[in-house]
Amino acid sequence: MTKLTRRQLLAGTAGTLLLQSCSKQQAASVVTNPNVAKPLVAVVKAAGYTQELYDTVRRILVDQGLNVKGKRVVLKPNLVEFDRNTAINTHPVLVHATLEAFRSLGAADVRIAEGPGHRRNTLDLADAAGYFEAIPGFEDLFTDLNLDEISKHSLRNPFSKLRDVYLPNTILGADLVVSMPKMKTHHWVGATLSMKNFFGIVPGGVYGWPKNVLHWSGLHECIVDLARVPGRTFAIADGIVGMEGNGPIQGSPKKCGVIVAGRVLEAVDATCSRIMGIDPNKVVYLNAPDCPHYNDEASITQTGESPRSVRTDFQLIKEFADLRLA
Amino acid sequence: MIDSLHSNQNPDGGWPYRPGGSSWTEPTVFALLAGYASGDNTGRAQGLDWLRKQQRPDGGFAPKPGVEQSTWVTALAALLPPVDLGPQGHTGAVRWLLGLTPANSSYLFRLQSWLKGTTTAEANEGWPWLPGTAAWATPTAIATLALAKEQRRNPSERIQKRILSARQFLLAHRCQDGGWNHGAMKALGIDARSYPETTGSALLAFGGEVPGVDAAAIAPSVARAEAWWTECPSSEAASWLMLGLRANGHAKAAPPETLKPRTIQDVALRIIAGAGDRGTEIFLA
Repeated sequence: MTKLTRRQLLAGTAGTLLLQSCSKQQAASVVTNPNVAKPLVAVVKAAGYTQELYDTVRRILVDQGLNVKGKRVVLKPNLVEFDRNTAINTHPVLVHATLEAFRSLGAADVRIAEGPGHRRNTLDLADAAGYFEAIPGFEDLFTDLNLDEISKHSLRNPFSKLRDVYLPNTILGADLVVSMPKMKTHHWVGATLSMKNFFGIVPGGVYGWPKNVLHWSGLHECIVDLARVPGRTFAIADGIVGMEGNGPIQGSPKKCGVIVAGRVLEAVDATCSRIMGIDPNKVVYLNAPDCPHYNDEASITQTGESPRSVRTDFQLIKEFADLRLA
Repeated sequence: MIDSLHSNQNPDGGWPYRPGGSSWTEPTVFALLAGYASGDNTGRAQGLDWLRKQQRPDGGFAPKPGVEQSTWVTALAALLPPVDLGPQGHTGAVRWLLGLTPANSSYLFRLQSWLKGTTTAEANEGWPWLPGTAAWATPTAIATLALAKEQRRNPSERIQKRILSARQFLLAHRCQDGGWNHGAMKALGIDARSYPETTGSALLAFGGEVPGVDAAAIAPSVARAEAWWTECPSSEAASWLMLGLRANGHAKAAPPETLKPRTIQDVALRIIAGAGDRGTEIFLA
């Protein structure tokens, strides 16, 4: 029997407990299907938010073999607060480098889209975060997902209590949605990475600020459900400077010096976790039952640096001290 | 600026958040309120017609056509003059607001919370963004304003009790710095910072005659709002700060020109906030 922790209680749903207890039983027994190609995850060193990123990101996309010719691509960064001096938001230079890289690969349309969870004035937030300065024509390229046109979307075999959710047409109509999280610790779920970043696709115009319905429907479960919404995804995690401690808002900047990228979000997040010194086997949403798990390094084809060689332990709050990777 | 509202009214009568978008309830109500504040009734009848169609059988309003859920925007609709919205529609909206209890304020949840020893239960009843969730600062502030208006028209003990509880909720969820953020003043015991926009709207909910709350209790919030005014990052925030401060006796001139309205709603709010006492009366009279 899994011990009931205060955090689980605060998360507020029995579903969380169910997911965790199931996942702990299943995690050890998951065997990657040998007939299915291992996901490719790139770990690339990047010293800072410099011009070199433009070449770095382009090479990552080429190495990953992404065919985006004529496609509609949506970049989904993590924009949280009015702040360009800490490590709360995905850095705008990385987002611009990614935008340029997709354009150079022939994408028909590349948009940037986000729906922050707390602050309503998204364009002002983006301005304060340096997006207008770093990305020419930003306002024309950007969609505020909180206020976008929406459609009702039925979740397939949801883990959470959600059955239907109204979602932005910009996301539902994209050929490829690129999750661009900031690599951060998170005071409710341990780490916020490419899967959790999809909380930002839920429209505040319907669900409010914060999108509290996700907490009441099961936080971990909603992370799994929402990450499965877009038909085709890719992830580029900003781990150049992440956030440790009491993230995702009140933590401290943590230099890590990497970009982590790949097509399979679970594999990217498991890799990010290892780099942060977090055991992915203990991150609840990475262990959902009946979902592919990539918590074992051997289940991923790693390119670039090995996660071990760039491991930079992020400080964990005491409530998540047991997530530390051995 | 009012011309911008005229030109962005959709053919269906409602207003979008962004030019060219479809109509939503929230910007439509704010555009209508801006019309009342500025004494301009252009497009009002069409706007009200559109809005009435968003009312659901439960009395609440949907945030836009096609959304099968009543939400906090019901409180916005309840701010409109009942005679214009329609007395029946107004009464339904007020009834919906009074019937909406945050999920963590229900007797059952509070009992469960007590048994488990958790601290997530709320004794005070604010308002959630939508049913089945917890209460937060913005919907609580707007619903408080709507019910306070109703209380002036049709006083009742039930409404008064709910207003008092909501204001206690706001005070209990005030940040250490005196202002309000979205409604979580601490994260794992660490004080969180307030936001200017929510500080302004929550402060507005304490404007006018407020039984049970003395000026001293609000003084730190006024001070925080004054401080935010000097470092205001958005047009929306500046408008709410103007409204909240004016409602508490600290009138401000127009916000800096550098703060550009980003949405139709920002434009409407700027008009309301810039209408002086008339703008404040939209919420308080």
